[in-house]
Amino acid sequence: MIEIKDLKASIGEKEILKGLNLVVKPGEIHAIMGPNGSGKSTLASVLAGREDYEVTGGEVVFNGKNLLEMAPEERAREGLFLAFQYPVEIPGVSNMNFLKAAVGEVRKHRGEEALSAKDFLALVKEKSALVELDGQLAHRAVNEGFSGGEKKRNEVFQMAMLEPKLAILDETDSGLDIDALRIVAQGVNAMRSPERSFIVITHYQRLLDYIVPDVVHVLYKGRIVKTGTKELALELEEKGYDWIKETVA
Amino acid sequence: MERVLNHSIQKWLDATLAFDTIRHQNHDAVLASMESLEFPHSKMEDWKYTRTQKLNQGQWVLQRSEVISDPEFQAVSSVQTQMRSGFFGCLNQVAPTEAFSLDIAPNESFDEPFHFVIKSNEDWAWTQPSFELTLGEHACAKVVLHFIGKHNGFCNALLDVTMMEGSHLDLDIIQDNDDSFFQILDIRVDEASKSHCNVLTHTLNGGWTRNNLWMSLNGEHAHAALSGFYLPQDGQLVDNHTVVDHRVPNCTSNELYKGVLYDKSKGVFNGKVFVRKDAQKTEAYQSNKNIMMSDDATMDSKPELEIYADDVRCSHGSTTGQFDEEALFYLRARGLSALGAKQLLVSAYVNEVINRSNNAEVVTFVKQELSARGRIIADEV
Repeated sequence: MIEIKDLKASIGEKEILKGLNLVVKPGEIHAIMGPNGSGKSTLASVLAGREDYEVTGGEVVFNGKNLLEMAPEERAREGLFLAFQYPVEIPGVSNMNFLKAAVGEVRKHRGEEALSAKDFLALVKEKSALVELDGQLAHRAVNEGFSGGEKKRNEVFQMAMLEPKLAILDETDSGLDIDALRIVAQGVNAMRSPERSFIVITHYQRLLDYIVPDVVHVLYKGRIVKTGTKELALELEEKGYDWIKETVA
Repeated sequence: MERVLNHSIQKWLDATLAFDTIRHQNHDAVLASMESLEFPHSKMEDWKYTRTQKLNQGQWVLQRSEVISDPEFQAVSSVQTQMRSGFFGCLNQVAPTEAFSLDIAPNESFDEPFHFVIKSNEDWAWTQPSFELTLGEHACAKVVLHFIGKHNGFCNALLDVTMMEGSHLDLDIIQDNDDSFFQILDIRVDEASKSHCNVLTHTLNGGWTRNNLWMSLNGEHAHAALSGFYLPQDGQLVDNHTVVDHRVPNCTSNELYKGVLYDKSKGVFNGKVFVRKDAQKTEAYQSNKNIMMSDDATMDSKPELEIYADDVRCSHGSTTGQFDEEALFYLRARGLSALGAKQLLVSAYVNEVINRSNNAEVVTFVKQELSARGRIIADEV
């Protein structure tokens, strides 16, 4: 699915990713944990194509293609989805117009026919139910006036609409209460399939009770320093990150 | 009597001589007032940012417009518009090429809009349509002035609106001119107490467009809403000069002009709000926002507030900048092209103005037109 080799990335003069390696196979869920400032969100941003970051080394192969050469929209059309840590409010742009344009682009890229208005609305209904998103929200402006929980549910709703091959959830659990967390996880779990992979970035083990990962990585100072099973997350929850820092040092 | 006119305007007046079928009731006074005028140039405060040379060099031939009205209206031959102080307003009054007068009787209310399409079809055609609109007490109407200027022409239009107590007007101006067309539109609105006027200027296209809108709140509890959008591209110019004159207490005004400027285009916004000494409890809001789509486009925005009363709520603001990069990235991360994402953002940006119109037909028409031209993405679903 995705193969990240020796990835190095900087913002301004500061190097944040310092040679990161990661392979995610189809159907797998990988969790990436790590202390603040370790590079988790940078990794998500670099993979999605945010231009603020400069890739200074390494390569990323996504379904056999060079991901780093693609514009953000090409990555999305190829099946990469980033659920934003801070979804952007876009006043005046309705969720529906936005989604219709996005779904249209992705389907066109896959060589699929455009959805009729009726089929599109049916899809919206089905997928918004998945994350218990109020039907009215779909008609409002993108994320405008949404609560924190609604924004995150809207991200998972968009993911369900776009049916990506690889979804990166960037701290989707931050700012969620336990009910919203359960709903978001339920949406993600409904989308699990042997062809779809997930990279779940989180600070806390709590989310991983709901979205059970196949592999857990610890990111520290721009590198993956430890890899294990879901029990590693439990161990981190119990002991914190200090023992990892000591091991690395 | 021999008049002494500045030579810069003599040729313009000479060109009107052949046209005298329609007469302003103050024709002689207008002519006399022109003795102190000269052709507008950039050293005049009102014309500081808008170049007039090309207009002045045109080989214009004064002629009638083609006016299609629905419901059908007879043109009139006598004009009573208020005297103007500027050159082009006077020029219109010296020789209007056609004149229409619409009187809505007191308490009359029309749901169907009065729609005027004013067309200019030929190269070097110079037209000077004149409109007078009067709403009696508690009358209610929607009016659309839809200008279509073809080829290399010049339309110098004038409109007077007189609103009696408690009347209500929705006025939509649509400007849809060719890239080589010049248009000046001078509107003056006088509002009596409790009247409500909503003016929206939709500048769809045009080579060179100058709009003067003067709204005077003369009676208490009157409300003026004025808005407009412009999306100039290539070397086009759109200049909106507005004045809101709060003359009496307890009136409100709300102004919103938004522009998206492409290529080497130029935009001008000059919005004055006067709050006279007696106009206590005035609420006046003004906003001009611009998005620059190119490094070569320019925008001159000048909001001006002059407040002589002490118990008022007024605000004005002007912003000029680029699109929010975060929003662009968010849309692209969902598969929209950079261009598609910008179009979606432009649509939302412009829709805020278009949606201020109370004329559903105009809203639909304008959105469809802009979308057919690839300027915005029409609402779907």
